[in-house]
This record gives sequence, C-alpha cells and structure tokens, in this order.
Amino acid sequence: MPDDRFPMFPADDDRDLVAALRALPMAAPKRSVFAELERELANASASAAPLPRRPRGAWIALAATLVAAIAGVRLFHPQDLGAVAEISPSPDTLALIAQSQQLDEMLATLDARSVPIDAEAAMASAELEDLIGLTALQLNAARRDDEAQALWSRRVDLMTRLAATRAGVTLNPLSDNGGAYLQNASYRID
Amino acid sequence: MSSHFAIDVPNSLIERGARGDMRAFEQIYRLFERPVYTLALRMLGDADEAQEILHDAMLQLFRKLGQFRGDAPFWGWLRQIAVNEALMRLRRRGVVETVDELPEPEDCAAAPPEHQRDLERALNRLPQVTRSVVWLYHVEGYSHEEIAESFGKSVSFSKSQLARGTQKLRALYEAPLAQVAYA
Repeated sequence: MPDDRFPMFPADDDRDLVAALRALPMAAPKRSVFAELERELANASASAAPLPRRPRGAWIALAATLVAAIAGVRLFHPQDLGAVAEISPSPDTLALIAQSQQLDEMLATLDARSVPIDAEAAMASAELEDLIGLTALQLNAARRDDEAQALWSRRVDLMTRLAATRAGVTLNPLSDNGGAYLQNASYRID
Repeated sequence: MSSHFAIDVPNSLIERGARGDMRAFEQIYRLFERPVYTLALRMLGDADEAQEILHDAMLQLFRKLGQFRGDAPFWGWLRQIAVNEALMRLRRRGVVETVDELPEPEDCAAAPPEHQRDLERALNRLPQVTRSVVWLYHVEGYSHEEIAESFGKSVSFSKSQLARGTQKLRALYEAPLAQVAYA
C-alpha cells in the first residue's frame, strides 16, 4: 500500500533539481591509491599465501639444493637496475633499492661464512631464491614507479626472510610453505 | 540509469582479477576510481575521508573478488561495498543512530549562482545521513527498501529523509537565486 505521508520522487517540482544532481560531474581523488593497494596486496600475499606445493619427487633435488645453499648461491638480480632507471624511481623506491642492496651484501657475507644449514632451511632457502628470481624478472618488465616500488618491497621482504633463514634466525620456523613437502625419513616413494 | 557506476565489465577481466592478476585489478580500479570516490564524497562530504573510503572499498573488492558469483551486475556489487564502507564510517560517528531534525539553513551567501557549485555547496550543507539518502535515491537509483536495508532502518525512515532532504536541498539551492532576483 502506498505511503501517502511522503510524496513520490521525483515530484514534478523536483525534476529539475534531480536532473541537476545527476548532471553533477564526477569528482576525482587528489591522488591514485592504486600503488598503495598494490603494495599492500603484494605484501599480504608474500607473507600469507602458501607457496605452490612441490611434487613428491622434489626430494631428489634436496641434495643439490643443500650443496648450493651451503656453498652459497648467487641471487638473481634485476638487470643493472636498468628498468628502474628508465622510470625515474621515487624516493620511496630508491630507499627500497638501497635496502635491497644492503641485504645483498649481508647475504654475500653469510654465504662467505658457508654456514651449514639443515635440510628444511635449505629447502626454504631454495624457495625464497626462486621467488627472488621471479621478482627480479618482474622488475625488469616494470614500466612504472608504482609497479617497481611494489616489487622492490617484495624483494626486500623475501631477502630479509632469506637472510634470516641462512643466518639460522627463526622468523618462520618451517620452510616458506610450512614444510608441507618435507616428509619424515621413513616416508616411502613408490 | 543515472549511476556513474553502471559500467559493464567483461567477465574475462573479473576472472583474471579473481585469480590475483594485478593488471586486471588495476584496470578495474581505473574504471571505478572516480565513481567510488564521488559516491564517498557525496555521502561523507570530506575529500580526505572519501579518499580513505576509495582505498578501503577497493581493498575489500580485491580481497573478495573470488567470491563474486555474477548473479548481479559487478558494478552494483562494488557500489554496495562502497556504500557499506561509507555507512560504517557514519555509524562509527553515531550519526546514523541520532539523525533527526534537519538544521535550518544558515544565512546564504549572496554570491551569484554558479549552478553546479551552488548545488554541491547546498548538498554539503545537508546532514550526512540525509545527504546520503538523497544521493542514493535520486542519483544512484536505490529504492526506499534498499536504502532502509543498508541503513538498518525502516522504509519510512528512507522516505522521510528523502522528502525533507529534497525540500531542504531545494531551499538551500534556490536561496541564492532568490536573493539575486530580489536584489
């Protein structure tokens, strides 16, 4: 049943007013918030999302990984920071690049010490190196500062975790995916 | 449909976004940046807060994109996320619960009417809840039932806010015109 206490809108008198309201131009924000969103989403996925589970046969690579991890692995770097140089990095991006370089040096020192690490840490190390390599490839393809900034932030995060893993510091006690693919010594592969 | 949100988004773009493709996110963001910001600005009347709503609504959208079922238009889904974010902010201030009488208009400036600016100014002088109802009904095309549900109020609440709000908006908008006419 219609409610007679209030007129239906737009009433004739208000048609012009409603038309004027609808004709108001859209407002634009002072700045885009996409770069912030991208950074937050990248950080969230780096710290929370499980990594892809490795196939059972991956244990075969364990020995090789162990050797590589103990002997030290040269990390995949973005090509001479060339991509970033093309896009005029912002001060925030430059700060992340500097942080990343410091972590590179720290990792080189850790590699030189050739600290033996256990199998679990070695696997976590290998995964982090894969992800750092992937980030480097993405960085080489980045064409805007906001993209590059999100990727450098991810690289710093991954390298921090790698440095902690190599130094034997427990940021995350298991490998990056919670050690899901590591099996007990009694596990049989048929 | 007068809503600025009414933009058809290809299913392939939504599916890519749901898989976490950042470039798809960006395209969606660019399509809806201004509609979301404008809606938030009209509801809250503050540019900084509208910017925060834009951020929060888009973050919600990207996190929930995998839950989008496609049984309603994508833009309507996003619009409701933005409305909910803005309403949450109004609720935190307690203005949704305490809304009652509209204030009398202050002395209107005698500046010559520059229609859109005057209308925006008049709109900004309505209380936030009233302004939100007026905007959602007249511009976004919400029904009274939808407004009532969003605000957690009755349909009568929506109708009374709209009737009084529109009347007041007209008075505020036309006051400078009248002053000029009788000068």
